Amino acid sequence: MLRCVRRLSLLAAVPLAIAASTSMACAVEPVDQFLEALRQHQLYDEALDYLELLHPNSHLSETVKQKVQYEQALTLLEVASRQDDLDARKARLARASEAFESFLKSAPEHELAGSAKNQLANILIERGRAQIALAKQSDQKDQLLTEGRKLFEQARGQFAAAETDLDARLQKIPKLVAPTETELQSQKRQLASDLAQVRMLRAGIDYELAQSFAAKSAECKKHLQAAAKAYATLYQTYRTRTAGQLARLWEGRCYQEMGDIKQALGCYQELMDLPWSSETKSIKTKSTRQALECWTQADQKKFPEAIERGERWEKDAGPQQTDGDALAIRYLTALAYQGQSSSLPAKDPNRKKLAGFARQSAMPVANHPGEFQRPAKMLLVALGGNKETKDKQSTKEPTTFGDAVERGKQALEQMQEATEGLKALPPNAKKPATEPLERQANENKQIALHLLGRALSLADSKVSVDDLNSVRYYLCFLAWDSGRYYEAAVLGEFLATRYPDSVAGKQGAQIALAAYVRLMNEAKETDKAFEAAQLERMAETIFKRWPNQEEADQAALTLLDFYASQRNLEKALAALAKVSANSPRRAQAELRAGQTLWSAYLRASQAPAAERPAQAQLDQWKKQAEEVLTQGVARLEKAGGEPDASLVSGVFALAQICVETGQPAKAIAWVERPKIGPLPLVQANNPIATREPFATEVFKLALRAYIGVQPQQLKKAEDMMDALDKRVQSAGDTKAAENLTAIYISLGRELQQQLEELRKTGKKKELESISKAFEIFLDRVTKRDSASSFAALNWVGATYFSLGSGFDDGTPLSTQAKTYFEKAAMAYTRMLDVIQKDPSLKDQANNLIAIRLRLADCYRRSGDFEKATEALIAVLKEKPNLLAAQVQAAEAYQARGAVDPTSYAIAIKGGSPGKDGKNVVWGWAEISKVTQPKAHRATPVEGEPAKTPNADHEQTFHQARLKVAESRFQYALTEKDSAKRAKILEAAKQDLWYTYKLHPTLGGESTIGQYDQMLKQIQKSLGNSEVGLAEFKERDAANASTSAK
Amino acid sequence: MNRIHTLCGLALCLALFSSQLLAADKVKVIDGKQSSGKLAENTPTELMIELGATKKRFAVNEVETVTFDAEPGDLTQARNAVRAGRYEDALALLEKIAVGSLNRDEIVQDVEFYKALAAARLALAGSGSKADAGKKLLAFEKAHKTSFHYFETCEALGDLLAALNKFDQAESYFAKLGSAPWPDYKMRAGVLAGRALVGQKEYARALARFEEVLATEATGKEADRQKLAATLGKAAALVGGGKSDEAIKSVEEIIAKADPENVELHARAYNILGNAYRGAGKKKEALLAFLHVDLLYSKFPDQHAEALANLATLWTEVDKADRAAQARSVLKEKYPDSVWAAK
Repeated sequence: MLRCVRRLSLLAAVPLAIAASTSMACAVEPVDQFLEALRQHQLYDEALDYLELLHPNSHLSETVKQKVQYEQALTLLEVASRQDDLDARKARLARASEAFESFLKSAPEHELAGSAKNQLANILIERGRAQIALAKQSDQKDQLLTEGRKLFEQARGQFAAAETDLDARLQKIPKLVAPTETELQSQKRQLASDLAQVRMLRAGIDYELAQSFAAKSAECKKHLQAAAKAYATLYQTYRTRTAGQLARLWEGRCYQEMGDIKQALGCYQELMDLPWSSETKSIKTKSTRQALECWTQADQKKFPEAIERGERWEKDAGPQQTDGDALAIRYLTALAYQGQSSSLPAKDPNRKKLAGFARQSAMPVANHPGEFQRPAKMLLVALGGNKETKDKQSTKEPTTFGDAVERGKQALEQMQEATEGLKALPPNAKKPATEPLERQANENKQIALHLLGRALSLADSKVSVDDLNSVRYYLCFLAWDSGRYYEAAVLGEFLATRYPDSVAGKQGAQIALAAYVRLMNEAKETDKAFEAAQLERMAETIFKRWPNQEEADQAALTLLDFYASQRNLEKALAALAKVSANSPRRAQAELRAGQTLWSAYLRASQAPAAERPAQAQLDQWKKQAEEVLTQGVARLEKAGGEPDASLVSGVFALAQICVETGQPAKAIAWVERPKIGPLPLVQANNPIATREPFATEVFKLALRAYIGVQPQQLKKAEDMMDALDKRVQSAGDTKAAENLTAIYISLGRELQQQLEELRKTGKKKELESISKAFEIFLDRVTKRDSASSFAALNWVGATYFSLGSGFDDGTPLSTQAKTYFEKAAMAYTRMLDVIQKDPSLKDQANNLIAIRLRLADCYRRSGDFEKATEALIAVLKEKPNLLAAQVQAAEAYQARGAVDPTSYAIAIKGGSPGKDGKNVVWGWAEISKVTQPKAHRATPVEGEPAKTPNADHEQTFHQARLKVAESRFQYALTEKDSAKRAKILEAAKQDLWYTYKLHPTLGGESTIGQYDQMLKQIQKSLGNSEVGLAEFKERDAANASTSAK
Repeated sequence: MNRIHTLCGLALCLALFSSQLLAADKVKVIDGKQSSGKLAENTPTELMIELGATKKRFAVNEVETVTFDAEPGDLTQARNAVRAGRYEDALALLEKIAVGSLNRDEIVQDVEFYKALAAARLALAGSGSKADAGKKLLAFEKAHKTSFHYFETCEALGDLLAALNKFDQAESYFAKLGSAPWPDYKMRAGVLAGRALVGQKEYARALARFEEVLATEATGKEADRQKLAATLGKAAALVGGGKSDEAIKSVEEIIAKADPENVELHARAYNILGNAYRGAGKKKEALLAFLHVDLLYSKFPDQHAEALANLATLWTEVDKADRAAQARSVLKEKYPDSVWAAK
């Protein structure tokens, strides 16, 4: 950075030093002087405004008006060169370039046309420098370096062309021009000046190229040699002129950077020996600085020479010189004094004296803001002083902005040192090692916060806005680092909105955005509106201020994440559109957006019919999800590198889409994709894929794909089942078999959902094709020896059950569904045999019960009510209070009512008395009683703590109450005697009325519709109007009115 | 060689001459120009300096600072500290001056004035006794009725009296300020009176005062400043009158257009904005507004104290008790006698 800044300042001197002046002074006002003064004070906006005002000024001649255009471009270039922010600098350079081109277009023959062309090439150099600087901070280093070098070469070409042109034009003017021909003389001077300038800049190209390679590399040296040679030639051509002297200085710089100090000093010596005058002051100062740098180098240590030259310069220049070069000379002189002092024996009296001189030289530098202030202060510390005074100074509250900032920065540095120290410790470092560093970091953080805050309150009008913003940025960073996100957001947003062109502005914007994200994460789920609004506003600010830049991409990605978490699909996609196509973050954004789309699709497709979006919308989401994910994956694959979790999740989602959309071959290709496919990564135990439940889901997905593909890949499918089995066993969980059952049931459920989806959308062909594929697979698996394993049977049972459910749409059972349930029952029966033979499985009582219940369910669904009730009674004798089994038993008896109406009574009132006389099967009425008290506990009882209703019990209660009425209704329909039927129907209605009276909300949205529907059916059968619950409301109102009377 | 001697001699003469020029009273006007000479006349409305036979007159409202020949360096620094709102630093510097050794009445007067003014401003921010500061200012006003600091004294006295809930007396001092012959002083008096009315919860009357200022036809930089201050005052009155949304809109517009380095304006604007948001029930927005004052515009003690007091409440409301305690502790430490610390 230091090197870069110095190069800029040295090169910037070139055009100023050698460009001829064309006066714009007119009778009305001294334009040139005023403009120069504005620029010197860095009042660029004012200079541009002034030039803008001048343009239409009728007092100016056409030539001067054209020069105004040139000056505008030149001012823009100066603004750009001073811009710290690299992206902003690039944008300003583009504006300057446009302005020079516009000038050349409107005044191609103007005397400044040559100069304008040089400036255009100069802009290429500036752009090249910006690329090189960006490369140092970027992941795309090589690409940026290549681009930067290309720009330098382009500039070289333009300089060469300009040189030829200028030379030819100069040759056309006679060597001797009469003094009376002032215009021709002026023209000749301008051409000569332009020629010198272009040659100087051309020679500098190799120096720039050298900076783009590693120091001391062969390429760097090659370009430095070429630059030195070019400068030497220039020096010979312009020996007695400023241009020649500058060339000599740069020749020396090249040697110095090549490590040839002797040659470098030869060049500097010559310049330092020039007589002191206002013309030579600058070159003498610069060469002295360079020479002092050489002499004080660690491998030179020629301190006496440095001291002598440093003091000689001080005498000539005087203490009023305080520019960067002057401060550098004083600092280097101080270093030389210190080096000389240290080289003397400890008791040498001169030692102390020299240290005193070193202090004298360093003191003014330490008191002057600039790049040497800090090193000078460090040097003063190293030189020693009165300890007591220093301690007093460090605890005393600062009284000036500069002091507060300096001490704040010191604390910040100490904090960072401690943080780095902590990072360097081994991960298992113990408290004695970490504690002092943590304390140092925290204490210094607090000190820095206090001192920098104090600095802001001490700032007066003399403090520059840049210095203020630096402090604001430090405070912003410290607030962020301390978890004070509100403060970080305020300071960051202030910098971003008020000073967007500064480096601090851009960095502040990023911190503010991140702070709002953190605030949102911290906020309560129900109270995030403020944070969301701030986040959106900050992101919009970034899009507006830094469009198409990395910051905008990051902001878009942040918004995308936010909208994805909010399930706001539309806005998530809008955020994706804001991430530029060539952004390195684009792929990540696409993966996130694709997964959001896919999740939205899955959620919506499983929603109740009334809440489901239109099928066309769902299909579009699915299509978009696949497209966006494919793009993201392709981008990351192209970029190379190691896959990360987001990429693997993206590939998994793609495979999932393919399975769900009936493209199993494509799914297999994704899931098995080399390097990035989730299956090879899980199999290779890659940590990004082995986390649970991801790994299990990968095996399940692969299993479904291998079964669904034509021809089926049975071996691989079985391998997946083995892998699932091993994975569950290796987890060492005592409930391994139970877990495996759960996995297969969930797999079956996924299949069932897919089949239901296909049925709902009327995709019969796909429904049958997938069912058939599974059936073939299951039949084959069942025939294998391995099919007798618990895991395989579990899978077979669950899958047949799912297939059966897929064809069971509530209408009379189809043959296909019946067959599938029967096959499922067979698999579960075999499982029970396996369990009986394996003591380790037998001990898992809950697992055994679950399978017995599932078997009973299969019997009921296949229409074998006898076996179903038998199996359930057996379970209930062992576990009489198992609510799930009681519900299943009531369901089984109710279903049996269709063939044996007396079963309706058992379904309602229960049956099968046990030894104690109590019914083993409770029936719906008892189930509702058992679940009611718990459902009703929401009403607080005085003296008892209020309890939250048990949601599961509440649901079971309402299910039971509805089923009581439904069973009675179904029984009534079997009664041929109309009077008896009506009586039973009235009883069914009364069942509903009692429930309504006790629980007027009827369980809320999820069940009230079912009550209404049931009542309407009863009303219809009674020949009444189908008004549903309105009848109860009316009856209730009438009763209330009667009571009131 | 002779030529060098001649040049050196000439340079020496020039240096001596310029040092004579430097050793004079200086009047710096608001637009940055500075004139030197001997301060010969001094009234509440006008200053006159003499340089030889030349006499130059300045209207007091155009004067930024007056420095005196051979005044103590601590006085110069103290004056700058007062202008920058660093009243404690100013007082410390002024205390160092041995008044007995000063040989010009004008310098003694200046030391007295700045001591009284700094004490008043600190007291208004809650650091030091308002009554004591008021006594000092009153003494100065009585003793130096022709001082060019007269109107500034009236303004500070008005502020102090308003803070002591002596609104009638405060109004009389604001009226004295308004009696100055310049429109911007009249406008300033209106703004201050309006603010005092807001302090009394007399929102309708306050609004009327601010509207009067806004209706003034005066133009120029200072008049614009006062109109801005009146707009902010109006917003504060609207907040008090329950019209928070209207106030928010108005203050946000001012903030968006203002120079971000105008500390006083922003401190006042963000406090009003914070109050407006609190009035609208938007506690987090209010928190952000007050934080602007605490973090970026804390130079003016009275505004800072108000922001800290609000932050202490708001941090609690957003479940950050540690931050609330911290804000309260800073408030009590820095502005112990402030009305905000007592709330």
